[in-house]
Amino acid sequence: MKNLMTLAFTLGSALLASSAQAQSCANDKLYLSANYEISQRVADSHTRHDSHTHEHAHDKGQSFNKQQLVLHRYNNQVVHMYPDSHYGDWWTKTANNRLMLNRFFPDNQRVIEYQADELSSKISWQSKYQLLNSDFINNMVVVKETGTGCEQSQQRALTQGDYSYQLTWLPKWSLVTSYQVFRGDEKVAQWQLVNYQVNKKHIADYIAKLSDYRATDYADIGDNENDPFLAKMINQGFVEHKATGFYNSQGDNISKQHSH
Amino acid sequence: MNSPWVTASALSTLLFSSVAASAVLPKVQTDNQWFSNAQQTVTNKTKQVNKSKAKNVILFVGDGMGVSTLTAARILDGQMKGNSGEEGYLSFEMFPYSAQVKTYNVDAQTPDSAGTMTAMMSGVKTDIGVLGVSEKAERGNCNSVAGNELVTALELAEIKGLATGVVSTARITHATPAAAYAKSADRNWEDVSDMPEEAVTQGCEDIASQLINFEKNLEARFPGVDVDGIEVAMGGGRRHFLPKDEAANSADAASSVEGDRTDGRNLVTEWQTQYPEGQYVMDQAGFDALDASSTSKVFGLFNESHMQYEADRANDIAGEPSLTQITTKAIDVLDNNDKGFMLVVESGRVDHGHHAGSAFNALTDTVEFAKAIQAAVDNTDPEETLILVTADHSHVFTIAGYPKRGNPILGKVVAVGETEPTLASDDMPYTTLGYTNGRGYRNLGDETNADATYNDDPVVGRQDLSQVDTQSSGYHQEALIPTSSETHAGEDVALHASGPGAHLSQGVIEQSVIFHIINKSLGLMANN
Ligand SMILES: [Zn+2]
Repeated sequence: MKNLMTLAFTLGSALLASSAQAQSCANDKLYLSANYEISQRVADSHTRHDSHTHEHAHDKGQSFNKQQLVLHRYNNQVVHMYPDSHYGDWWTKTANNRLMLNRFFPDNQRVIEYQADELSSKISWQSKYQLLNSDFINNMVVVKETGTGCEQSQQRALTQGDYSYQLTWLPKWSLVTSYQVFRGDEKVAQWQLVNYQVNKKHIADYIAKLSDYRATDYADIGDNENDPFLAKMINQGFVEHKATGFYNSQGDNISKQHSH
Repeated sequence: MNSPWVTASALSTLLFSSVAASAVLPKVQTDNQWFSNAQQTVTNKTKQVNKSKAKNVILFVGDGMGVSTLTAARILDGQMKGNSGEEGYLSFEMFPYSAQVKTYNVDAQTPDSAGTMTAMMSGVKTDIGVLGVSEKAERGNCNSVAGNELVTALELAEIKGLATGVVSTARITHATPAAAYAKSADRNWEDVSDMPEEAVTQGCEDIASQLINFEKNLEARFPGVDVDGIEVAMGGGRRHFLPKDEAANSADAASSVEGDRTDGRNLVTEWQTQYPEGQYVMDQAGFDALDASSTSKVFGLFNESHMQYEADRANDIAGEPSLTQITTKAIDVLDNNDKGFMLVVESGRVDHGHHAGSAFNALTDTVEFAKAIQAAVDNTDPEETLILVTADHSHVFTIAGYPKRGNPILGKVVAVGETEPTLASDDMPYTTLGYTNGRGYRNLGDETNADATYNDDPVVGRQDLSQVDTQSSGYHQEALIPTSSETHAGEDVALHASGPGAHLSQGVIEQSVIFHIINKSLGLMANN
């Protein structure tokens, strides 16, 4: 826990600096990029095709997958880029509050598109935007709170059955700074914010670049078996059950997923 | 051949044998409903009068609607109405004539829509993946198109002065509808951003642009000919007509930037400039507001990409018309032309339901397709309108095991006389419907969109279905071979025909014969 608090403190300072204009976090949080380091115990990670891209750190004899997650927010769009896996998910909240997903592959400059209605309506925007569903966060008990306004930081905790969860987050930024999952005393997963910045222009340019990639509707994959990229990429496994998110389609915790 | 196909002498022979039979056959046989119904069917056949000259032709194409799809959809349709299902007919299965159609492409045993629809529309079988060009063109090579362009039945109808229409639940630029109006070295060149720069430089025109420029391009290819353009074009695919600019977004845009075009052109406004009297619609409300009797031209783009599956249509942002509504409206507009019309109607998403391994979506779209065809029957004169219903190709979709009569078609096999599912040698139940390949088993509950299957890795092989509701909309059938998507199949498809010229649909035919049936019936070429 000590590490966490140090981090929270560091973030708090950064926050003070970046938001001298007091109330700006309400607007700034819409145009934010954040870097996370994700580590998951191998047995819990469910990685299948891309495990070779992960470092295997050994902690008390346990193997953890580690990978980076870059979160970008731009109004009704959120990008989750996984540099180690060479792909990213670009989510758009549509006018009728459903989600549309473009999965992009920067190495190939290709995009595979999910129309909004093709995704389970149970996938929540919050789970993309702030990495955790608000319901889940609200269920957690506030353990400690520091700062006010844009600098407010909360520690929250929850125990459900064998699992317990510890969260540190910045409510006014809807930003997770640290999130840990324990099974009994064992830590099985952790998401750690490394740094973040607000840069509207930078994110706009980044999204514009993604929109220049060649796009294919998922529904058209069957008629494009001769396209080697599509034939390969579609077999990667998609959207909801990747190790790189800590939610499943219900926005529940990773420890409950993979019932099939 | 204008005369009825049963001659008077043959008829008397038939009548005689029928009388003779009633004398020797036991009452248990002749009183049997199957017997008398079948006898009536043959009697009706003998009374058929064939006409050859059609005023209008409607070509219905169920994309990927193979014969097993017809059978299963027929049963599902009946069961949804509370019947056993097997004894029913989809609307077009009541048509008097049918043929069996060979679907292969010139270079492919199992075909795709581009090659097959080109054959139907032009009378020329061609390669997989190319549109409106002969096999001499090379897929993806723009320069190979020149000189190999084919003329389609729709173009000939246009030149003859008929009203013309193309509608689909897929993108209107998708292979099947596009084969009616476009020439392209690649089916995927739906807009300029989908084309290699080389192809653009060499002067090839993207498919969406060809739809908008149909009139101009046709007149350029036939100097001296004056046509008035396609009267009705409706479907999905708005992205290919709009510039990549947020300002051009439609009210129901899902993407942040709806348009894909990188040449800055807005083809919707170009169409509106070209046809100031025309009506552009993009949602259910706009569609409903169309006054067919006073509208001469309609352009409808109801979705950024494909339109919704029928079962999922209620989830659309701005609302979409059903294929039945679209077909009815199209006929209402086209029949304003006294010379007649030619309409192509594609049910584009039967194919996608199958690709996703969802019998539910494939079949419910097929049932809706049958409704659309019934609407066409109801809104046209059978004396003057040839209606053809076919598919471009099949899918690896099977109806298997020994389920008892009336067993739910989406259910598990329950044998004759049994109430519990039959167990396979692995002691697990199995469904009647299945796929040879694809992404395989899914249990997505009440999900109504088959494409949700792409969320997960393929799951092939046997699953324990004992606790699974395989009749739910979100159930995807088991598959044997893992592929990124379930594939087309290579067996023949059916052609059903009604109206003048329908009797030309007989026997086992190449897909290219369909063009000639249309041509013969409409008299598209002067020397026919
Ligand atoms: Zn297909």
